[in-house]
Amino acid sequence: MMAPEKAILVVDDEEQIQVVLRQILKLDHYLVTAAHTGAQAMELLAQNHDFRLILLDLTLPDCRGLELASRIVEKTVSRIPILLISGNPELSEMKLPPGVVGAVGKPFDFAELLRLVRQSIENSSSH
Amino acid sequence: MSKVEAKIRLRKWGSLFLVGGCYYVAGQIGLLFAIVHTSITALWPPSGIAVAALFLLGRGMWPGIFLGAFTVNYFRGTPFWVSMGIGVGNTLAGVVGAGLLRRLTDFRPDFSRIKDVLTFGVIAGAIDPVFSASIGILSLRLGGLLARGQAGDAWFAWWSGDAMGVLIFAPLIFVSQSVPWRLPPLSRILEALLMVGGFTWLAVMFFQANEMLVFLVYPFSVWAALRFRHLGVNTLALILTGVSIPILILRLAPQSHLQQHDVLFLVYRLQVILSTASLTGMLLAADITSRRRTEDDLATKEEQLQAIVKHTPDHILIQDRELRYTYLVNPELGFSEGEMLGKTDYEILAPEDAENLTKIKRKVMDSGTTMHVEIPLKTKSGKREFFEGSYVPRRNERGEVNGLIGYFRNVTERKQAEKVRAAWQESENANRAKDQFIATLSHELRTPLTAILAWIQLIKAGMLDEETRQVGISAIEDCALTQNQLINDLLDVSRIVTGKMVLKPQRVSVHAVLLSALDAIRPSAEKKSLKIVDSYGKANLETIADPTRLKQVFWNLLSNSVKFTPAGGTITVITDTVGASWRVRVVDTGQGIAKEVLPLLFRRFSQGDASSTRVHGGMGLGLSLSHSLLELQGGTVEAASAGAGLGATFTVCMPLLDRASGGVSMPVFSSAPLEPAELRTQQAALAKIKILFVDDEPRTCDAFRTALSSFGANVKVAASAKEALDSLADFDADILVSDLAMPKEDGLSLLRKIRASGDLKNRDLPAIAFSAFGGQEVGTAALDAGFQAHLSKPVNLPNLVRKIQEIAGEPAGSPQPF
Repeated sequence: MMAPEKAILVVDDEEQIQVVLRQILKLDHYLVTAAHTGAQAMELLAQNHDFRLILLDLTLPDCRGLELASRIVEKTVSRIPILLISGNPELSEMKLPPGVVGAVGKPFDFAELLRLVRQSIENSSSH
Repeated sequence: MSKVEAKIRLRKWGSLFLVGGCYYVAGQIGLLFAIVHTSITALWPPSGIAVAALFLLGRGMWPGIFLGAFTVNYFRGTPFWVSMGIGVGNTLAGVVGAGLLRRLTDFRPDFSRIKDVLTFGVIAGAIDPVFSASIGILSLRLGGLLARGQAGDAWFAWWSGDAMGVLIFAPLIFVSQSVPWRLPPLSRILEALLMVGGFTWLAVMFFQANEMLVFLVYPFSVWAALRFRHLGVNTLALILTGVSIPILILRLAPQSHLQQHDVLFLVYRLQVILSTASLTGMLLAADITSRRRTEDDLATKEEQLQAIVKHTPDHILIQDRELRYTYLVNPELGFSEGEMLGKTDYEILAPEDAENLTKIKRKVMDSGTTMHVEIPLKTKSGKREFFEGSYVPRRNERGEVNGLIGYFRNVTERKQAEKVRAAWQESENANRAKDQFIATLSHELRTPLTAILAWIQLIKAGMLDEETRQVGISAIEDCALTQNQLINDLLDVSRIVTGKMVLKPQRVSVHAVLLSALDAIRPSAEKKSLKIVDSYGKANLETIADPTRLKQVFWNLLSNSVKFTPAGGTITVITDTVGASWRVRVVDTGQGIAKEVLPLLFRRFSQGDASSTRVHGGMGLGLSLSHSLLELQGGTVEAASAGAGLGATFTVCMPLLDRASGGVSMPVFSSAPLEPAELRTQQAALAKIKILFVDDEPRTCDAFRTALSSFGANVKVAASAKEALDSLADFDADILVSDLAMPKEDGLSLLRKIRASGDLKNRDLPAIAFSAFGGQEVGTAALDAGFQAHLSKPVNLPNLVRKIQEIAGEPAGSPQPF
């Protein structure tokens, strides 16, 4: 079954991570747009790319990931689910801000990542 | 009517009748001394009673006075209307006299001041009887009881009789009011009896003989004033009056042949004598009273002062114009009062303490203003203690400064507590910095690892086409290399921190080193389609540096630009010279650096600011490592950016090879272990310390200026001993660091001159020497010349920093830190 291409916004300042995430998401035919900074991410969201999901790194050069998540939720009318990427193992136990549907730890398992992405998109579209 | 009101009313009526009664009785006595006319007497006691009663009990007493005055005349056969007139006159006199005393002046009825006596004499003695005499004589005339020709004499006789009554009787009533009515000691009663008895006998004796002998009363007057004050003086005046007037009247009575004039003359003469005696005594008593009161006030104040001084925990001192101690409370510093009194600071304290204190004290006295000071002083046993307090100029009556008063508190314990707190805070900060360092490092290590693992999973799962798999494998290689680089950097940082970084400085071409770095970075730049422009001048710039480490610095800066410049951007490398230094600038068109981040870029995660994690995130250790590597070789690196998104410029600067010195390279610094405690504070290890650095070799001067400035020091360099001496005039140096071997004049001679100079501050300037020819002898010679320490070249920088920290702030000759 070939699903139609769904747009995903990946916000991560590390090129190495960007590249590999693009490859992983390509396996499930997602269309990846990359942002390196919080400012870039906000700009892309404002251009209305119809992203179905945001993958957000917690350590960005210009702002904290959680702050950015809250800002995205505030700014975007249609609730785009956000998945956090973090090397902090305690994150899964922290209270996540509204709009954040889950977290992926580093290093990540690609199958698990794809499952989470799929599930998050399905959950949000079923609402 | 309430009970209280009834009581008050009863009291008022009681007082009225008592006053009226007294007036009547006193009037009966007074009329015994009638002269000129039956209604005119030589002494009229009721006038004194009237003034006293109206003053003490209030104006409301006038009916009592009037009643007394009326009856005493009426019952003596004076016609009704004439008696009424005399009554009105006497009442009015008392009311006016008491009213004036009460309203117009601050008269005190205890006569405790001389002005009370004078006021009373004028108002009650002179003015008040004018009313009684005038109205009384008018009444007599209207009643036809006095011939016209007699009126003048009669008026004056009346006035003087009333005045006598006021002067003799009113003060006695006033002062008996303010005398405490308790039984005095027996000796005093006996003395009083002796005085009164002796005086009465004397008065009777002499007045029978000749009233001119009255001057003999003066010794008694003085006795009374000194020992019994007003009560004594007024009692004697009463006795004198009571004796002399009846005697005079009795003596005059049988001599009816005497002309009225002669009688009046005798009476007036006595009155003048009596009133003079009375007023003189009162003035004497008033003066003594006011003096005694001043003494009592002073004694009370002295007592309060003693109580304060006795219980104060503070140190109080008074010094005279020559700064000798004249008064001490709680002497400090282990000296006793006896050891300090009469001496100056120079005779007691350590010379430098005496010097400092005297300077401050002279300033206080010269300017006449109070100064607050906090000062460390050496105790008798050589311990250093901290004092906080003020010096206040002391002035004489003319307002000239004639010394000073000091109030001080020993704050050594508080200072120590502050130190402990600061140390604790510092270790807290260091801990936090360490935590952040670890957090940053784990992030840096995990990022490539995450990518590597993900790629391996993808490849293992066999889901990639051949082309993508090749991409993955090179990505894995890149990541592994990144990690390798990071670990290498980490090891370098560790080497610098532990002092094991070994530099192999040699004569190198700046451009050759730069080119090799550019070659190394080119592949990754091309991968991102970045253009590298190398703008290089014609001259072949040479320098002394470790080529491997210099290349590492260039590579770090270039790799940083590659990383943060988006694809298609340009990196420009510009090489030129500034003064005696060469400069390489790496300019990129990348994302730039926010203003607030700039100062944090080169720090080794040592600041307590949470933003450091973010600043260094993704940046690795390259920048701080480059900074340290350059610092060790006498170079600098700086970053500039117009802001986020506007690109960044990194500038490396290092001294050019000095051709004059023949290109012989001698390493300026060697690296040695830094104590962990220094690691965390080294950024500000020399904060605010002013260093005068002397060396004839410009390259060394530059290197040291850069290195010492990086520790926060304010460095001024001098190329010769003469320049150094000139600099000291306006540069307020905390420490001198000098090369020993210099042409013309060497370091030993320089310091000897400084030590021998008259400049008080610089005479004790702490000093460190260094020289290329090590050895015991040179070191000893340096210490003999007055240096506190000697280091041999190449100078171990951390060691130098530590020595400066140790020695600066301690004046020469006192090696023990507080």
